[in-house]
Amino acid sequence: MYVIIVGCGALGTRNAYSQLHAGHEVLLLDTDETRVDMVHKTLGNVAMLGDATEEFTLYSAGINRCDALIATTGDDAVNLASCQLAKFTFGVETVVSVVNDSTDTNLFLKAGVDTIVSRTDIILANLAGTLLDHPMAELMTLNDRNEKLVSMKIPRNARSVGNRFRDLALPYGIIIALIVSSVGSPFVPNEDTVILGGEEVIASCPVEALDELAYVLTDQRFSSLVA
Amino acid sequence: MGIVMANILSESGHDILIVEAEGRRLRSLPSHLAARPNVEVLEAKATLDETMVTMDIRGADLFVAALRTPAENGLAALKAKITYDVDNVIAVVTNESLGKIYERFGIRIVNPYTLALSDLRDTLNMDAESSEENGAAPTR
Repeated sequence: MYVIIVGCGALGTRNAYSQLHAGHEVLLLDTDETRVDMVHKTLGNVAMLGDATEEFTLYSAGINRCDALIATTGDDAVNLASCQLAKFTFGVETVVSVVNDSTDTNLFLKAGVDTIVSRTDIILANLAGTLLDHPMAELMTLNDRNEKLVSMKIPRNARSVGNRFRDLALPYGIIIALIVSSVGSPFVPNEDTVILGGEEVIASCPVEALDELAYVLTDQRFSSLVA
Repeated sequence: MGIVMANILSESGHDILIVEAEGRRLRSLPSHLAARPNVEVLEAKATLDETMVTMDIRGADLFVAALRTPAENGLAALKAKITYDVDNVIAVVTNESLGKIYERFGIRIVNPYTLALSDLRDTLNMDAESSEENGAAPTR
């Protein structure tokens, strides 16, 4: 897969690092020469100087054979314009944008962006994750914001402890993706996996079912966990 | 471009609100424009929601985005059109491809380059016609 990432900041560079390690071809774009040089030094020759809101820059970056464009700059105007050019002018199948002003998320979706990632949500999730004993963190918004990837820490005295996933009344649409044990070892669970106190459950969940999922796993309502 | 449009519209008697993030630019508005009773100014970033609310954008008959870059104008115009349902939205956009995209969303585009070229073409045609009338060979 060929991915163009707009913005050589922390988000763009880290994203490029992940994509490269997953075996994808990546090109970063930025208007700041210093940032482009920094990428050359850290990741190799995978960055290009140019304005991603200009058709010629995107063309020079090889957007005609690009599978996905990810806009990660701190400027929502640049993120939206580069995504729209990719989508409408060059027909790129998947365009993803970071949205810095969280009030603009619906606007980005209506204006043609396939998936948005709210910078505010990322920060809040990181903050929640760093708070000791915080039982739930939102990791990512999925599927046009109708689903969330969440992490729930199982209290040692929760009613779910000692039960297999198949024995719990999990709400419809839940995908249990990963368990992180109390000593930090990750593994992929199945229906027969027994839940233990202190584990973290990573799950994809429809927004409307978050409350129920939280209650089944932690005995607490979602609203009270994130408040 | 924003000043020119504000001048024309305020001269025609319309109430104008000029929104500009840089106070320095607001303070350097032409004095005749700033002195008009139907012209108000607001120092704020036009692409922010709180600014849109402060400027009472839902009550606007026309929203003109004439900021620094085509991308900024696109964001402001799309916000006015999609988020706040303003009927008449104009964006000053020099980037032709972006202009075509914004038109899909019902935004009218003013491209200063296209206008200048059209003006230049008209001027050249007028010169040629005038030369022909005077019996001279048309210039190419």
